[in-house]
Amino acid sequence: MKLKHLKSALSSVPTPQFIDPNITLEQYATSPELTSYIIYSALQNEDIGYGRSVLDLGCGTGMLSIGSAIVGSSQVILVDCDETALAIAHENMEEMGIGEVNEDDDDEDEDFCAVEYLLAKINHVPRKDVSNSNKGGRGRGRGRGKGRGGRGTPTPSSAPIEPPQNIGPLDDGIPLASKCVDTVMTNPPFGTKPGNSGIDISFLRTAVRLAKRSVYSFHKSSTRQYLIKTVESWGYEVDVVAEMKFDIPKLYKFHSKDNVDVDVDLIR
Amino acid sequence: MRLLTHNYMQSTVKGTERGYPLKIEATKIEFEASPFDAEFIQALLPKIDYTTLLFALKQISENGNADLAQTIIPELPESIKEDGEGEVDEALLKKLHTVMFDIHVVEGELVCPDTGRRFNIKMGIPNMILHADEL
Repeated sequence: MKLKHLKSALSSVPTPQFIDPNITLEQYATSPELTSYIIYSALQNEDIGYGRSVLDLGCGTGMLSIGSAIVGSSQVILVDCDETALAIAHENMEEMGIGEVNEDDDDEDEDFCAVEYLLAKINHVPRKDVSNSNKGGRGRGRGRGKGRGGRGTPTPSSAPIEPPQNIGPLDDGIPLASKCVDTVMTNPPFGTKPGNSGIDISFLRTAVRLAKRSVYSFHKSSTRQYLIKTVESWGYEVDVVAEMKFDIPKLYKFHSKDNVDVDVDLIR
Repeated sequence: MRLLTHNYMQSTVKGTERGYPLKIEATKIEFEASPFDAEFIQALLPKIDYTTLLFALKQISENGNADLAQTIIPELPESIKEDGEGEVDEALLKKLHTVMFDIHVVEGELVCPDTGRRFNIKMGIPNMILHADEL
């Protein structure tokens, strides 16, 4: 499927944006543009498509799942901690005709996508690492943040982040066995809200546990060095696939500008 | 929730040894036939836990919708036999497909085998969100 076909298909998703976004969850939808790029990339790597299972971690409105399904992935699992988001995603899927059985269309057999939804929340322990500052700048945070003294928040851990546990009891709040899907796609919250610092790393940690083949994820470019170091310390290879501009339109009241572009890395 | 998904799910409640497999107490089951792809099912077999699949099937058949269970849900053998080329008989593949993909638990509960913690399933979606003290 050509990239532009993908883009136009994704542009026809009925509810690509959140209607009443929850600010503490940092709900920003992935745009059709961004989605089509990540999907196209993943398809070229044969990480998604026919025969593959995909998990969308923090699916939001379901854009990444819809994209995965459109290009023929056989199984898509959508996970989010917000019921409303899952409802929107479900509606979007239905409108796009994904997961529906066509009685007369025998050619569509290969493209049937089994869709599942799961309500689950990542167990994130806030960290005091400096990796999620809003300021730009070169790689910072070597994994040992300075404890800034509790303001009643839980004791932050300043040790390097443990790799995900693959066996035995799970600690990340996501009730799925390790390596249960081929590919995980995620556009995690960036952790700019208090108490959420470093949550994108928690998402990534769970993602690498669940995926057999690969993980595609977005992160702020400013956190690149820290991110690469962390992922490599877990024993995984990481590539920055693309640098993009994540277009965040005025969604919440406190946004003063109409549009803010945040530099993000698409990593694999 | 399909039985295929159940196959991958485990409880993450604090105090579980393994939390797998989750018990299913279904109060509403639906059946929806989906396209059968023999090759795909054959390739999927090594990735699932067959014992758990049998377990899940038994759970579904036992509670709720007994008549549905009898008419539509196929019976599965204790183990899967392959022929000389490692291939499984297509009729069996079709039954496996039906069990894994076409049975949907719409309402009910999943139960952690170690802690007894119950997870609600509503509109086909299991709610696995844990409370702060369960992590």
